[in-house]
Amino acid sequence: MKNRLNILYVLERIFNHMLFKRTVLSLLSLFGLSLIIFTLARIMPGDPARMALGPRAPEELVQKYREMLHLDKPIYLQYYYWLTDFFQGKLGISLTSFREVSVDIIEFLPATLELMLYVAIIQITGTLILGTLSGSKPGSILDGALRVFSYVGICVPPFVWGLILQFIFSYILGFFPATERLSPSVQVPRITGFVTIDAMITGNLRGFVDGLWHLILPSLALALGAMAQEARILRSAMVENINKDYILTLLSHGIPNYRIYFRYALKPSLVSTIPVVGLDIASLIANAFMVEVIFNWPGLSKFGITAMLRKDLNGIVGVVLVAGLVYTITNVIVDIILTLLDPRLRYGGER
Amino acid sequence: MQVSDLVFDANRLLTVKNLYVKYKSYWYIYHVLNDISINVGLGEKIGIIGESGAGKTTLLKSILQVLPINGKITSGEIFYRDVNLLKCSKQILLEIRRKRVGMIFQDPLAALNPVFTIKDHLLEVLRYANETANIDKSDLINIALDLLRDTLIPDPERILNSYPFQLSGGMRQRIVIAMALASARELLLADEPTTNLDVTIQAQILKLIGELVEKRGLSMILISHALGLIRKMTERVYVMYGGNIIEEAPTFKLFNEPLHPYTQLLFKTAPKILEPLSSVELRGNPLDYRNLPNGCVFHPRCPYGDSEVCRKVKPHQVKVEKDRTVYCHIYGS
Repeated sequence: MKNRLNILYVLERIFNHMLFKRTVLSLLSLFGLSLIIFTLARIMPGDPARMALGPRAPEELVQKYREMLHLDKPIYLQYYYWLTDFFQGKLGISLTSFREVSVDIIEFLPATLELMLYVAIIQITGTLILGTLSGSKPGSILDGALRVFSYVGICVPPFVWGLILQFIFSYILGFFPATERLSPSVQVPRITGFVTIDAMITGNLRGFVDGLWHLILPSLALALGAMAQEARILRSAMVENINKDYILTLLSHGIPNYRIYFRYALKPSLVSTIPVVGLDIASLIANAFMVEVIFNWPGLSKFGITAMLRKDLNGIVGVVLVAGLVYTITNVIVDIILTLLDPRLRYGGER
Repeated sequence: MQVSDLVFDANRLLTVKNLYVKYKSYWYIYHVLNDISINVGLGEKIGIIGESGAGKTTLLKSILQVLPINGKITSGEIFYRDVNLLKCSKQILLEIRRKRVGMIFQDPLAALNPVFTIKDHLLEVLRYANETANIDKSDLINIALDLLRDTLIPDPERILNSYPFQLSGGMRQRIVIAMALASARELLLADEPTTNLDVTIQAQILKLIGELVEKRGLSMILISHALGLIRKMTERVYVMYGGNIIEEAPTFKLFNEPLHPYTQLLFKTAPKILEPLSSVELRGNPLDYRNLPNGCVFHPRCPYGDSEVCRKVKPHQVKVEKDRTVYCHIYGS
């Protein structure tokens, strides 16, 4: 049974055990989430129809609007209508934009996802480098600096970073643009909705650079605080691991330090860090709204918070469901990465 | 500068002189090694015995300078052939670690990285151990398989692709030995290679180490609590207590007639198969390394330790015979 260790076997095990169960479980939890958020949105005080039409609209019109939205029916019946719509691919009409909610989501989601992508890139590289370097030499200057930086990171929320970065880099120095996804003079056709990817597909170098330039400040603002904390987590896992016998063994064989730290100490240390990184990145889908507002970023977070404030019932449910979906997918990705990192999870080991 | 292959004095392959090592914790400083001097000749097999916590492991780790981060060598000299390991360049230290000295760590369950395969471990070690030899990967795999066969591992191809947690303790220790042999071309440091293994496997592993050392003509420092095996496998023994060497003698002389009171008690307390369990015990507690006793470190527990001189004066080296030294006031006058 020599081939039992090849990649197909590993994949088969993953699909047999984890992925399948995870998918079923996440579908169930998404269903539960829809139920909860649907009910919550409707029992919150405030009249959505009146808010949508404004205080001066005549009462009959508002009443008609309520009937159109089934707001006069009991909640379970409303949920039934919503569910039948949902299975036909409709999330209902938004009360703010007066369009299909799914259309809104398709319009706003890519902006946030693109932001998340760049945050993830910055956050993961930063975490790996800072965490490993300071974990390999506890008590060094870099280690001390990281400690201060991570305390600051915990205290300072992302939107404050956003304001600071905007002030320094676009107001004083003028390196980066302060708001929006593209400069007014630059046009990028919409294919995937990711500005940088669309620009790359169409071979539009100017659009790519411009999009990237617009992305840097908001991604940095969102990444800095979380990165500092994750680097600290990685650092403490590293400090624990570099005194273990298996690292000292390699040291006693004269393996160079960089290979010991960046390979043999890093891999077991990542097992505790990756889940936190995953959750932090997934949380951006709903938590990035302050930064999106500051940078005037047409993202889903911003759309979601507007929907909340205007009591846009269908909008709220749609946004929360998308957030739930993003969390679920991130968790599955995290699980797959963990199984690839730690063979004990793969084979159901002894510990 | 290269490590010369000429030994100026065949009796001095490795010489440790007046070595002091301290561990620092947040509040305290632990004086773990105090004025240790040992030497290992070419092809010589040395044993180190003493109770747990006597500083044996620390001594071996300081030789290759793989102490944990809070450990520090404060003074002393470690000569390997003609190189002072504490003052030489990093490159020479790496060369000695890669190609000359190998170390087997205490706990086989902890000495292998849980998220890498045996192949990863062995190839990494072999790659640097054969650095200049211009060897490609398939050769390395063959060397690795040979090493595994040498350590009597069944089905080495399968083992090579396994992860440590899939193997038994004895198997893992064999792999650690194979790794150590990859680097040990002159000196093998074996630090209690059988803790955490059951008694039958212990004997097997020690026998294996003995045979391999013999076959490859290595020098060895062996730490073990199994006195019978030390007696069988070594030529000279150092007895350690409280971070000090307290007695040094050829193995057969030491076992026939231990001189230091601690050594005598150590032998008496060891259970023997054919005799009823001995009622002799070592009274008192193990040492507190934060503040070591004045005078002889063993005097609080020594049956003869009540005299003024034992409490006040640190015992000097006493040459009882030409090849025997003991650090005890009883033999001083």
